[in-house]
Amino acid sequence: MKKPMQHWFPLWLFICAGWMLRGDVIDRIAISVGMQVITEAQIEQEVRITAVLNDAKIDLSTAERKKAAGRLIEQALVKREMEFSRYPQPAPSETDATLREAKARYASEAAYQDALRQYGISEDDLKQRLLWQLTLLRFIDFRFRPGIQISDSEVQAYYQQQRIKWQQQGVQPVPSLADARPQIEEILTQQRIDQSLDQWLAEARGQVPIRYHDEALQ
Amino acid sequence: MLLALCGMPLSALPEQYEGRPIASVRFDPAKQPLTYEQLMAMLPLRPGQPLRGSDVRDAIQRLFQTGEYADIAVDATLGASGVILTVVTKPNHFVGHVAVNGVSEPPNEGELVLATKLQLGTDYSAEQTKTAVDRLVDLLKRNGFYHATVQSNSSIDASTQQVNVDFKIDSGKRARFDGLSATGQTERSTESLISSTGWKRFRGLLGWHSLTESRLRNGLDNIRNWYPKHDHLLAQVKLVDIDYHAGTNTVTPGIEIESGPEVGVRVRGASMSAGKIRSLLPIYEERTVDRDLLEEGTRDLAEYFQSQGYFDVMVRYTTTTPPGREYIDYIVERGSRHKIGRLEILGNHYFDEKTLRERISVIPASFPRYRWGRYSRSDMERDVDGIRDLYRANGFRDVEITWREVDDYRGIPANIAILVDIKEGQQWFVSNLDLEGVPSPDRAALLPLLHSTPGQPFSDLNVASDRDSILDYYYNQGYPQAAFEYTSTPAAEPQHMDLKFVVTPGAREYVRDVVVSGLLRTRADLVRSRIDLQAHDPLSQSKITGSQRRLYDLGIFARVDAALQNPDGQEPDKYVLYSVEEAGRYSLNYGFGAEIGRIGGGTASLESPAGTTGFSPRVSFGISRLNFLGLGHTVGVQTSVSTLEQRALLNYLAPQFKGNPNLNLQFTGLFDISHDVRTFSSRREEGSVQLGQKLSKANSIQYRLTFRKVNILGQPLITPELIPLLSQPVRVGFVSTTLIQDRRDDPIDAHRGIYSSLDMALASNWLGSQTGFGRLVARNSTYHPLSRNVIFARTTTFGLIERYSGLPEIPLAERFFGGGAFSNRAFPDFQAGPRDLETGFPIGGNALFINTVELRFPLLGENLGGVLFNDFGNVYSAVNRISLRFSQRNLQDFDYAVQAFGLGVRYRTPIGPVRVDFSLSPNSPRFFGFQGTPDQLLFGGGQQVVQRINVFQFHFSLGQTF
Repeated sequence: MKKPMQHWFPLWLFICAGWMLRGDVIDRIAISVGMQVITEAQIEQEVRITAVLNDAKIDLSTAERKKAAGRLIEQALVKREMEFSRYPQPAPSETDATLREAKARYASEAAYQDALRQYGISEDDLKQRLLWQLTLLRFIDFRFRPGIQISDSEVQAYYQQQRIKWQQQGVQPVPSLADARPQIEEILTQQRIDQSLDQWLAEARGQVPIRYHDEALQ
Repeated sequence: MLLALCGMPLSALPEQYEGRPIASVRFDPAKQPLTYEQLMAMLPLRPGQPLRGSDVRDAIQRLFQTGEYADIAVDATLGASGVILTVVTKPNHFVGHVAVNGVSEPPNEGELVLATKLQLGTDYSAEQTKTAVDRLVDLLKRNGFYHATVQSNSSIDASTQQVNVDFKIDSGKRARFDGLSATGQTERSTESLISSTGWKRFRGLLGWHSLTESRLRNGLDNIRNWYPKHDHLLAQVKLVDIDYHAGTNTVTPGIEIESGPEVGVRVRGASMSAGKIRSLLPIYEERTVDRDLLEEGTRDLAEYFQSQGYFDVMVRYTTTTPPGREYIDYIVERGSRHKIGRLEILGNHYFDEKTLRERISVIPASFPRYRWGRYSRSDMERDVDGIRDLYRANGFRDVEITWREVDDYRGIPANIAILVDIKEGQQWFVSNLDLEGVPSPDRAALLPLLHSTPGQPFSDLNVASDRDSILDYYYNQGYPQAAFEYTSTPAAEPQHMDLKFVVTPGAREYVRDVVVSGLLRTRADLVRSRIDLQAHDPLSQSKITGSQRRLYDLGIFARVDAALQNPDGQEPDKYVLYSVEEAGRYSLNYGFGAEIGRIGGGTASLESPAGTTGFSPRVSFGISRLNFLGLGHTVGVQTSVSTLEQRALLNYLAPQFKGNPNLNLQFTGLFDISHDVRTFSSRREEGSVQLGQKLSKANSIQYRLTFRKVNILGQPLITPELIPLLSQPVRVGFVSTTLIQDRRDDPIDAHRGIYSSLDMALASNWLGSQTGFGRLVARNSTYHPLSRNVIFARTTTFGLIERYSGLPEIPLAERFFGGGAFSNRAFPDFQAGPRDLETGFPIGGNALFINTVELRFPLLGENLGGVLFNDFGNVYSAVNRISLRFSQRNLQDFDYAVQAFGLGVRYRTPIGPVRVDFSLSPNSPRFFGFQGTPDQLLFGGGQQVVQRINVFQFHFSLGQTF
């Protein structure tokens, strides 16, 4: 009678041979948002680009990758809405100025290229990311700004709070309501836009099936 | 594959792969839902090209968008000639047939399947089945099955990735009501509330009804409806809980009632019934009182009084709140009553007045139906909008239409004229149409469908209609992404436009295969033959729905669902799914009724040869077996028993014979004992086979082969010497054909059109017939609308029988008998034509000519109508004896045209008009009857007396005369 290990030996051998001869999984689905997919490579790239833009170290921890995945899900939801509703999209050339600003942070073109290499991304990846930021801003403006009305009482209430802060901070002279009004209105509008965007994203998450694949973000 | 999908860590395109040439692309497993060529056509990964991370992402995205995959990973191995890529996939699954069994209705299977929310063709996951079980348990509980258990069994068809789910239910016993628990301000006793619900069987004598969702809802609605009728307009009745008692398997619904304050609604200044007030005022429907609804009520009341002729009516409301209650008073100042004297349309040239008036609901006053006319300002606004749209659709872009009321028209007090002024303006035309993106074969098919072709009127409506036609065309050719845009620019010629339609068909989709599920007894080839789609056909929406309709038309399915598998997936071909639920196999019908008319007398007694008023109760019963042998055929037995007739009919029907929707084959066996002709009783045994063919929408033809044997039962009431000649048992075999042309707008109650039929039969000894004769019956009916509701209708029936061999006379049972509600109404049923010269009983004839004219008009309201009619003609002894002569020459002369003038009343019902006809015949026949016994007739004795068909006749039946 064979011992148990002898009995299973051929199978172990087969599995080990398979493991030795296996290839590398170079990309796979991490999350699906409706019919859109976010791959693991995309999540890693998002982490890297964010690090470049924030001038931070690359952190590929699960927590950071989950944050990046969250941003990519929101991107997918917005892209989906933009395709359905045919929102106008910016031309790639519109990112030139922003790219110049990003490059200006580096001493030279060579330093900039070195940084890209270190972070493991290409200039094209960066351009795509900047284009996306612009697209998102454009979408927000079209989708939410027209519906926002700031009342005079809200402006006054904000001004009163701000005036107290200015006085406490010793700002002299304290700006008048008339002078501060355009800025206050913009601040309140931005706050309201943020609220609307959050609300819209929460609703969209409920309407579109979002599925996390088994091995994603482990 | 499992290791790759589940276990291995990701190395995000390591440097050793980036930019290296791709050696090959493989798929794991090798068998994929799409072919290798289809997959490679959609992937940006090509052997020989450098590998890029963005291409890999793009490949995963494109594969996922086909909807065929639940998971995808790309695996790379470095080989001698480059990178070997393996795309590792996990297939998606889709909802297939869903069956739910084991519950006695309600809920029925359709409701149960719907409750699972498993939608045919959509993505399937095991979690959905678990949720579906919960939903089923919930639905069953709502219908009283508190102990129901649901088991699910899923089976996967790997070849189609379809999951069929079978839910088996052990429902247990349905719970019964056992009372009602009411809290709050109820205003009524619990017993009274229970009485309203109807939950007790025969007021409790037979206990309680079982719980069903609809019974619970109806009971609560009945409670709710009580309160508005008792001035508690704001009452709220809420179901709080249902208390289940497991020991007795009974439930006690708990309800909370807030009856609210008493709110009295009164209409002052005009008399209105409480029911009318409740039906008109929205506060009753909404069960709430607020300013908007009260205002809306004033408008509704004003509209009502306007429709009654009070066009100057003013309505307002007041509210008063004495202690403990609230009153809403609608104060109506009706003003004087007006009459719509005239409707006049001015300035129209392009459309004639008749075309425009058809679109206006105003009806000038006419007696008796519209004594004040019919008119409402809001309806008039809508009608004018409709006419404006009509003009614009025909190129009159600048049309202006105004209308006004003119009171005291032509100096007649309270006489209103409605004057419509039309300024048509210039008509615009299409000068040139450029169809861009449409290839020549499609252009030839599309052009006849378009309205906006050169020379035709230009309008936005026509362009919109053309857009729909073009997109429909492309959708049905397999282009679901087809898009349409158009531009219009003024042409050189005045009032002309150049049009450009730009069509982008998009990618074409095809049928991968057709999958039918849910067949238990029905033969698959029967279903397949009704589906007009096969693999590799373009995916046509109209063919999918057309096939679904043909499956329904088989009459053997309770439900036919049609869907695309993976509808949102971007793949080049798709499975077309049909999921069917077979209907119950047996269908029963039964009925009770009675005939009243001049159907008495005769058959055994020599008295009353012209019939006496009689009453004949009738019972009928039938059973049908549907989908016989799974072929979609029907076998049925229909029986009826009355004092006039006992009949059993066995029928076998093969609809859509040989898969042809225009053919049907029918075998019939008949056993009938009849006393409807007062002269004799007969027993008929008959067998026939009939092939029916629909030639076109209006035309059809039937081919028949018939054998029958008729025995006269007992002694017929005719001269004894004629008995051997006319009433011996006879076997008849004949072929016949019937041509039918039906162009009526409504077969049950036609208002316009024509109906013609020609029935020809030939009985011959080579068909086994003991006598040889030919028979022809032709009928032509026409219907002419004289105005919107007044119809002139006429029908003429001609028939003849010619004997050419066999017996010396046409046997009694094969002769024409006429007269009655659907024939010449001067006679009782089957009393027309030649009569026995000794007994006076009808003996039928060999020719027939009857002409009927009717003037059909409205009487009162929408449902009651009247008819003035004249019938003339008769059943004649021979075709050469047909005469339109008014007077009867002597008491042996029956070959003349008997006239009937009369008045009828019709009451419209969903199954056709119920009718009563009263007729007066100035020349009804006189004849000799026999006063005595049958023995005296045989052996001598008795005496002949002159009798006459009663001048006045009445007929009561269902359906128009013709």
